[in-house]
Amino acid sequence: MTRPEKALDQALRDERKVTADVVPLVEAARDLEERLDTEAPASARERAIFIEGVAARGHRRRPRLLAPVLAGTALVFLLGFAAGAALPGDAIYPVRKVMASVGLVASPAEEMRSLLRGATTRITDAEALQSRSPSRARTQAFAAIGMLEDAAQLAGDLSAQQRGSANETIAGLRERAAAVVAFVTNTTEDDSGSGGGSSGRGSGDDDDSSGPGSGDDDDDDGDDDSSGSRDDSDDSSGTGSRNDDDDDNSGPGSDDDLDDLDDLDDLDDDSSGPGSDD
Amino acid sequence: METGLLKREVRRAARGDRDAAASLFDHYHPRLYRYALAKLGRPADAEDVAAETFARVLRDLDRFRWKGAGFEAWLFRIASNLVVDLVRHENREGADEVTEEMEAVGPTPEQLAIYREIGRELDALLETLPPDQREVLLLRFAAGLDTEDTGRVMDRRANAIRQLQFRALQNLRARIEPQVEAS
Repeated sequence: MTRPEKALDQALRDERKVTADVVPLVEAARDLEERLDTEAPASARERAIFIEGVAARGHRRRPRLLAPVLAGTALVFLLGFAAGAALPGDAIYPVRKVMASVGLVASPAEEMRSLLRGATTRITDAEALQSRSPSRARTQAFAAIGMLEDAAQLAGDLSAQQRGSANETIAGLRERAAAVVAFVTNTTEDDSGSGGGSSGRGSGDDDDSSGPGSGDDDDDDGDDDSSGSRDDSDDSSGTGSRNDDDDDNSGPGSDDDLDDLDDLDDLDDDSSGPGSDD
Repeated sequence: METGLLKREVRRAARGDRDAAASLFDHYHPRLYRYALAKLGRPADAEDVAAETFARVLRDLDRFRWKGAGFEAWLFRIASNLVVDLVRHENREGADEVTEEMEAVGPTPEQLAIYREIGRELDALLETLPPDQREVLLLRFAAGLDTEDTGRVMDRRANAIRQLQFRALQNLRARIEPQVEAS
């Protein structure tokens, strides 16, 4: 930059720095400034709009900041909720493992215990219902089979010892569930083939191998049907799934099997739970 | 407005402070109007440009950050763009078919006579300057920006603005003197 240009700029900034060589240009600048100095209209309306707009915008800012926080929180909850039901192989399952490690969701062992209890309850109910209400018994048996599928997937996350016990229990319960399904299927077929007579099926020999060993009415799934399955009066209707004298509960998937899962934390501490013996 | 105070006022306005908004409006609206009037020559258009500039400020104040360019540079860049848009729009509609090259050459003697008649000698004189020299003078002496902010609005270095300013004032003075002598 040449000297006069800088001198002019300094003179325009500070009148005390005006030098002789730039005086005409400074005067031209002052003259221009004066001529351009027109009075602006009041613009009261535009002023009010701007001021109120600024005030309103300020009020809007909080929700704009809050929205991402709320969205993030909701996402975390949704993720947590989804992860809580995830099984091995699901994309979100690693999240669940992390959550389990910090106690936010049940550990695999706790989850296994819960699934096996639920499956046992449903199988017990199914066994009790299989003669009186085959369709309901089948529904219960299928629900139990689904739970056992989940349990089988979870088994991979247990320790070797826990896995062995769990797999054994799962196998026993599957056998019992399959027996119920087979029974009700045969019953239905017989009914349809014989014109509806069902009194002969299951009313005589009580096959203990099917393992209807649960006499506990503690049905935590709230299914009222299960309560009727222990009614002795039902025996007259031909249900053979429940024998009051039956003390042989040691069939596959019975409580003894659950007791075998000592390593699954306190799986066996709930002896009064579904599937336990009277 | 001193830079520190201006920063505080802008921050307060961004948080919704009415007093800060009023202070910014009162300080900058007259300057925006003067700048737009000098550029366009029509009070109604100048008012529109000033009002629209504040509407844009209101809309984008959240996004404004003090990164290099200050608030004043931002404000007058908005106004400058609005003026350009307005002129382009008019040109498209055929209201004003004067090209930039013609503007640089300046008004004809007949046009100058009309300008004189309506008391707009200054406009006529400014019209004779090259566009970038005219823009520097308007940003410096109508808008009241310093050399640095003028450079930010025009995307030029401060040194380049000083050179333009020097040449613009020389040219302006060279055009004023014959008029003074003639009068």
